[in-house]
Amino acid sequence: MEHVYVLGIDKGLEAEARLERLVDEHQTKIARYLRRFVDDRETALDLTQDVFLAAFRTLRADPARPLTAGWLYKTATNHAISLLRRRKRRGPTLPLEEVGSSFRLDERSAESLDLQHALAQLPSEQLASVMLTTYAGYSSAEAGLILGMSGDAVRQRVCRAMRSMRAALGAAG
Amino acid sequence: MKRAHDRYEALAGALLLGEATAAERETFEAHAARCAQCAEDLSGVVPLRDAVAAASAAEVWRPSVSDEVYRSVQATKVRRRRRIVSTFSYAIAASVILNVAFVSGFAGRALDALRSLPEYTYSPVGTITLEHRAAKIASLVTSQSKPAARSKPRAFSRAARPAPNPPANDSFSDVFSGIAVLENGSGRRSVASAQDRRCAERAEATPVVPQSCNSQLP
Repeated sequence: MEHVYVLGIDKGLEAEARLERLVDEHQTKIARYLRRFVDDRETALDLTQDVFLAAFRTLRADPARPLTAGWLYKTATNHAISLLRRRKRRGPTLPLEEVGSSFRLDERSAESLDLQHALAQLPSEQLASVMLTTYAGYSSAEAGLILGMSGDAVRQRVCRAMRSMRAALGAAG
Repeated sequence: MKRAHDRYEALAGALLLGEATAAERETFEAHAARCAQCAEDLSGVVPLRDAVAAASAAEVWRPSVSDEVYRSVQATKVRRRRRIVSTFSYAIAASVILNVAFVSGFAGRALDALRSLPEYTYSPVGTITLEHRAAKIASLVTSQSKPAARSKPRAFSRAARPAPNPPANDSFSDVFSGIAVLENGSGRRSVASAQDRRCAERAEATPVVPQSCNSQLP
C-alpha cells in the first residue's frame, strides 16, 4: 500500500516516509561501513540504528532538508569515531582473532583478518579517510566535505594510513 | 622541509586514489627520484588499496535494521506525545489554578465592595424619622433626671448631651452616633439636634413616655 504524504501537513509522517526510503536504500552499506570501524557486528548494528534515528530527528525538525548518503556517512563516521575514542579511553580490547561475532566464517580468511587488524590500528581520522575514499568510493574532496577537512588533508591521511597499514601487515607476516 | 613533504604526501595520496592530474604525477615523480622516503610511500601500497576496495565488494553480510529503527521511531513518538500531553496538562492545570485564584480574588473584592456599601443613606431632600431614638432618649431622660428640677429645658439638655467618651454599649451614644453621621451632610446636624431637643422637651413635659416621638425632620 502506497502512502501519499502532503508536504507540510504532518511533519512526523513526512519524516517517517523519507526515513523509510533512506533505511531501505542505505542500511546495508552503512552497517558494513560501520563494522569496518568498530570490528563488531552488534555494535555496528547499534550504531546504524543511531544513525537512522539521528536522520529521523533531523527530518522531523525539517522535512524539506535534503539528507543524502553523504550525510549518513558523515553521521556514521562521527558516531564511529566517538565510539572508538570512548573505547580508547576505556582501555585495550580483545584482539580481532578472539572476537568471534565480528565476521562470518566465509569472511574470516587470514587476509581479511589481517586487513581488518591493520585498519584497526589506524588513528580515527586516517581510518575515516581510508574508509570513505577506498571503501565507500568517495573522492578526496567529497570525503573532505564529510570529514570537515580539505581534500589535500584527506589525501595526506590516506597516504599516511597506507604507510601504517603496510608496516602493520609487514610486521604481521 | 616538513611542509614540503606534507605536500608530497598529499600528492602520493592523490596518486593512490587515482585523482592526480598529469602535472601532479610529474611533480611527484620528479620529487620521488631524489627523495627515498616519498618514493617508498607508493611502493607496495597499491595492492593494499586494492585489498581495501575489494573488501567492500566482497561483503556478504546483509544486515537489516529497519524493524529496530521503526520500533525506536515509534517509541520516540510515544515519548514525545506523552511529553506533549504532560506539558499541556501542567499548562492547563496552572491555567485553571490561576483563573480560580483570579476569579476568587476578584469576587472577593467585589463582595468586599458590596459589604462596604452603607446600610442606609441620607437624602439631602428627604426626611429622617427619629422615632425610636426619641423613645430611647425619653426613657433615658426619665431614668437619669429628677422630675421636679426639670423646670428649665437647659438642665435637661445639659444632662442629655452625650459624654465625651460614652461607653460602646450605651444606647444614648447609639442615638448620638446616628446624629453624628449627619454631620457629613451640610447643615443637617443642627436640624437633627434641634429635633432631638424638641423630642427631649416633650419627654420632659411627660416624665414617662411609653410611645415614640414620631417627629420628623423638616
